[in-house]
This record gives sequence, C-alpha cells and structure tokens, in this order.
Amino acid sequence: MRKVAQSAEIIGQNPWPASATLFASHESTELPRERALTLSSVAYLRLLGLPFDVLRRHNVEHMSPTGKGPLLRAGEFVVSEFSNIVYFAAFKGHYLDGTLSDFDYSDLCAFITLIDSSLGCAMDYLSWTIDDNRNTLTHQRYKRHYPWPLGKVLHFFDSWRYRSELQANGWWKKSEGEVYDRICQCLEALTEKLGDKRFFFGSSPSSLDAVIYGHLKALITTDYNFTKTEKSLRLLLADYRHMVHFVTTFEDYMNSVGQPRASSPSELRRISNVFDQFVK
Amino acid sequence: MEGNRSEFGDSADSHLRDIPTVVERVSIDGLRRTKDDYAKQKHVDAILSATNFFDMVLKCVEAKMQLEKLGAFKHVGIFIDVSKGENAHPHGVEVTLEVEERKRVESSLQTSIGNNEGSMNFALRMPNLLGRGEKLSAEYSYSNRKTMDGRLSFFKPMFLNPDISWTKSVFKQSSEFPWSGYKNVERGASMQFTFPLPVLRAASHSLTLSGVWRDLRCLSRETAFAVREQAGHRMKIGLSHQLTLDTRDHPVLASDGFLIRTNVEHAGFGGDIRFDKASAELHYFQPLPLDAVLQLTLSGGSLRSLSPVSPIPDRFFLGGPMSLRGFNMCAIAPKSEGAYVGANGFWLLNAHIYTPLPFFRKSTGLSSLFRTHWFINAGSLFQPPQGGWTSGNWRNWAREGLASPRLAAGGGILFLLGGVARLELNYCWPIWLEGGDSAVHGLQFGIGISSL
Repeated sequence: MRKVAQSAEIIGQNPWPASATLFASHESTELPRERALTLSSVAYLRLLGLPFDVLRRHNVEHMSPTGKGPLLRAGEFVVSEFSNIVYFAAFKGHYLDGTLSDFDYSDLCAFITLIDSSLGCAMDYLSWTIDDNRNTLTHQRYKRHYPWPLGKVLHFFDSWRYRSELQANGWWKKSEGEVYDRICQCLEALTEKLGDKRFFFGSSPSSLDAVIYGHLKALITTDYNFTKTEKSLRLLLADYRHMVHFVTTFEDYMNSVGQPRASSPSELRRISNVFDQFVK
Repeated sequence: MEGNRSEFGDSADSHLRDIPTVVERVSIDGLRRTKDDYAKQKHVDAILSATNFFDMVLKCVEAKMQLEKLGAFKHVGIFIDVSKGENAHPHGVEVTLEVEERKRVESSLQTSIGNNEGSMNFALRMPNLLGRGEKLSAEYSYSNRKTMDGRLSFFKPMFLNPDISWTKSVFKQSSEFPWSGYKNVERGASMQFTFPLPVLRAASHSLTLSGVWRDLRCLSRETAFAVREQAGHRMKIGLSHQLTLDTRDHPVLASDGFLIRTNVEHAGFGGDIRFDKASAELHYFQPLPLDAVLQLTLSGGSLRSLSPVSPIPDRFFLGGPMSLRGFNMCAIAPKSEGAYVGANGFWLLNAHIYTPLPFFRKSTGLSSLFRTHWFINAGSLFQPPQGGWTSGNWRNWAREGLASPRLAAGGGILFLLGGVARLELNYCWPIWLEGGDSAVHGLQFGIGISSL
C-alpha cells in the first residue's frame, strides 16, 4: 500500500508525457470485453484531451502486469486496466469525476460495477460459453496470431480458464435467454439513468460515460451473437435507440475535444481521498 | 589410446614382442540381456588376429575400452590363460572378457542449489534396455519456487555403434533471468542424431531438430519495457548442428590438447521465432615448464534474426565468473531501463595460467586438486552489421566488434571438484569498462563445468 502511495507522488512529479502509448489487442480478433475496455480507455483519454497513440499487439495480456489489457505506457510508467489508467491520469492532474458530488460518485461506482458484472460477463459468456462462438470466432484469435499447433493448445487452456471463471461467478450455467434478459435489464437501467440528459451526470462527461460508451460500442459492432435462441443481439440493441443515439453523440463530442483539460485542486480532492485510502 | 600405446612402448620390454602367441579362443562371460551382436564386434574378433604377446595385450585393452563405451557394462575385466586340452597350440592362449552388466534400473536422488533456488532432482535410468545399448532416462526436479521440470529421453545406438546414435526427448524446463527481469518456461521435444564423419574422425557431429513452446513472463512490475514487450507465448522449431572435437587429456582442467565446439542453428521451420545463429569456441592448452599450463580461449557468435527484433532468450550475454571474469553475471551493456538485454553478436578472448600451489608441486593428496590461477580476459557485445559475413563486409564487422572492448585481469585459487567441476575464487581488476556494465573490483566466486 505504501508503495502505491509513494508511486502516486512520483507519478505526480511530471506532467503527462508527449508520447504516451496505449497497447491493445488486434482489432480484427479482439474479444468483445477487450474491445469494450479498450474503447473505454481510449474514450476517457480523448475526453481529457491527452495525447497518446494506440498500438496493437497480440500479447497485451501477457505484457500487462495484472494480466488484462489495455496497457498504457507513459514515460517510465506502465499502467494496465481502465480503473488504473483513470487514477494514473488523475495523479498527473487530469480527472473528470472531480466535479461530482459524493452521492453521484457512489452512484458512478455502482453503475460501473453493474456494467462490469452484467454487460462484461455477458460478453465473456458470448465468447466462451456458446460453443459455436468459441470454436469459430474466439478460436480465430489464436489461429491468427500463433503458429500451429500453439494456437490450438493456448485456445484449449484459455477455454478451461474462462470456464472455471464463469462457473465461479455463476454465468456458465445460464441459458442464452437468461443472458439476453440480463443485458436487457442493464440497458433499461442505463436508459432510465440517462433520461434526457446529454451525459449520465449532467452536462459534462464523467468516466461512467466512457465506460458505457465502450461497452455499448463493443456490443453494437461485435460479430458475436446468440446461436440457440432466435433472439438476436443486434435487434436487441436496435430496440434501445436512446442508447445507440447516446453512442453517436458521445463520439461526436469526443472528436471535438481539443486541448488537454487540467483539473483544479478541488477536483482532485477525491483522488487524494482515494490516495489516503491507499495509504491506510 | 595413443597415450596408452606410447606408455606400453616405453615401459614394456621389447622381448614381449618376441613371444609368439596364438589366440585360440576369445569369450565374453557375463552377458545376460545384452545381445550377442552388440557385445561381440570387430574389436573382440581382432584379438584373434594377434601374433605376439604385446600385440595381444594391446588388442585386449582396446577391446575392453570399446566394451566400456557400449554403455551396457559396469565393469570389464580381461582374463588371459594358457590354452588347455590335448589340441592346444604350444603358444596358445584363451582370452576371457568378464563383464558385469549394469542393473536394469538405476536411480538417483539429489539436491542442488542454483541462482537463489534450491531443488530436488530425481533421476531414473534404464541402461541397455533392449540389449543393444538403448537407454531410457527420466529426470524430474522440483524447486522451492514450486516449479516442476522434467525430461524424458530415449537414447539408441545405431548400427551397433554407440558413436552413431539417436536421442529423442521431451522436456519442460523453467529458468529465471534476474539480470534481464524475466522468467522462461520451455516445453518441447527434440530429436538428435549424433555421428562421426570420415573426415576428422575424432570429431563428433550432432544434428538436432527441436520444437519448443516458450512462455516468457516478467519477473516483477519493474521489468524493463524492452523485455515486457516480448512476454507471452512463442514457438520455435529449429534445426541445429553441433561439432565437438576434443583432444584434451582431462575434461575439466587439461594440461594438453584442444577443444573446438561449434553450433549453427536455423530456427524457422514453422513457429514464430525465426533466426540464424552461429557460435564457436576454441580452447587451447599448452603445458609450460614447472607443471604450469597456459590456456587460451577464443569464442564468438552471431545471431541474425529474420524478424525485426531478436528474441531475448536467444541473444548472447557476457559477464560472470565463467565467461568474462571481472564482471557480474550477464552484466555487460546493452542495457535498457535497468535490464541487461544482450546483443546479437559477441567475442571473447581469455588467457589463463594455472600453476600448482607453491610448495606443493609434487604432492598427490588434496592439495593436488588446487591450482593458482592468473587470467586476463577481454570481450565485447556488439550488433553485427547488415549484409552478413561477406568478404566486403569484414571492415564493418571489425569496426562494430572492436568498438567497445572490455578488459579485466586477476588471479586466484581454483579447486577441482569431483573431476567434473571447478570452483574458482579470484580477485579481479576490471580495466576497460563501458557505461552500463556492472564490474567486480574484488573477489569473485564461480562454479563451472564448462568454462571459457
């Protein structure tokens, strides 16, 4: 814990470097959950107006110290996963959630957990539990980037690993109908939360907007689909026009952001609370 | 064998050559599972052609050496008796080679200590499995880092000749490289064919085809990015050729002879690691007056990767008590963010002088296993120039290779351990260094089996 606190001070000493790089999996063979997290990270950094490049590598999850992508390299620091990237940018003085009230912030944390545990797990279900998807689309990811027979071997071991994870969180045994319903419930909650507002917490974006954008965009553009039921993922998303509209307007906003947005000390107060939690 | 011949020639009385002898019978006693055609070969038949006593004894000793090389016998004894019976020739003798076969199953349990790691090794060997020198061996080791490694291999001599052999093996091997910040687990299988050639008979050639699944992971969060980028799974399928020519009189600390080893490897028959690699080493031993020995060693290598960045585990590293003394283990630059990343080319030149301990020149006890040791060594890591080893390019090679040589000298004590390894304790003076190198100005300790 003390090491994190010390590194927060070291991170804060220098500003955001001119040449930061975000490493992510290859677009053509990305799993939907990986794409969701990559899009979320890209969106968040674009919202802050920070300069970075995106490089695609097939071994991002092995390069990452936590075993999951995407991976940000900024100067001498290597940061993996979306939540760590948010904190890293905050320690450098760029933070979007600083203007939220404490109530809104706990709401934000709750929604991010909801998206991770329903949309995120549903994407894992689509990739690994549905046999057809696993043996064709997911297998492509190994066949394309690893030579034979290494691709087959790695696909086999990763299938077992994801199977145990999905069994542990109770998703392996769900039927396609149940997963479909979970996705519906999540989208309902999001639609209700968004209402008529431009962003989820008013007129300025927060990290929740980036997360929702990433997951929805990944679902909209994915090739994965249900196979046993006649319910189609694409049709489901078309039903939630409000969410699809949000994705489009968010992209327009993202493309219009110019200079890096530095946060004021009062906005960074929340991060120092987080920092204090780490110290304790 | 040449040495033995001259010993006999010098010390045997010449009258042994004048004793006519007719070998009437040669028999091999004690064969159980070993097949007759494997044990009884031309070296045994050659005894029958001896015409005098000296010649016969020489041929018997040669037959004993050949039988010991078969890998089937623990012990071979020669028993010569005068022929008996009514039809015995007046100069007749009967030669009996008494052999004791190795047990069907041999096992060993050892503990060993490596780089901050202790492990337990269990080995099971089944020598002479089917009667013609085949050997099945299984090794398993479990370390305190909870890694399990193993190797299962099957060795088979071809054409009843143990100099020509096939070895097939499957293995899993994990190793850590703290100087670069990564650990590596290699799983694979290999097939090795060993054979002599009519030219340079004393040399042994090996062709090895191997397929390896390599899993590289960073050791910590602080691992340098140049190494982190290479983390993950890769596969290497390669063909390599090794040549060994050894005329030394002792495997660990020779006093005469030379050793040449070359290794040429091409990786890329499938898999995603593609390179051409060649390395060679030459050790030359020259006896000096007062029981001293001079050793000169020259070695070098070059790696040409067919992908933009060469894999770190295949690169060359220099430094350490058994390669470039005076520098820490693999601690010669290039360096990236604190990790030594190796280079695609290296050269190394060592000169050693070994002398017996002062005042103990003639002793044969424990003190005969010690030597004093003086050395000077130089070497460098470099990037080979583009264009390969062509005649026009040698200037570029010389310029790159000699751009930043390292040099160190020193002296100390050497101890020969068990006839298989050497322990060295040296005081080193690094003379030429480059930025990034980690030198040792002081005592350096090392254990080695094959050292430069």
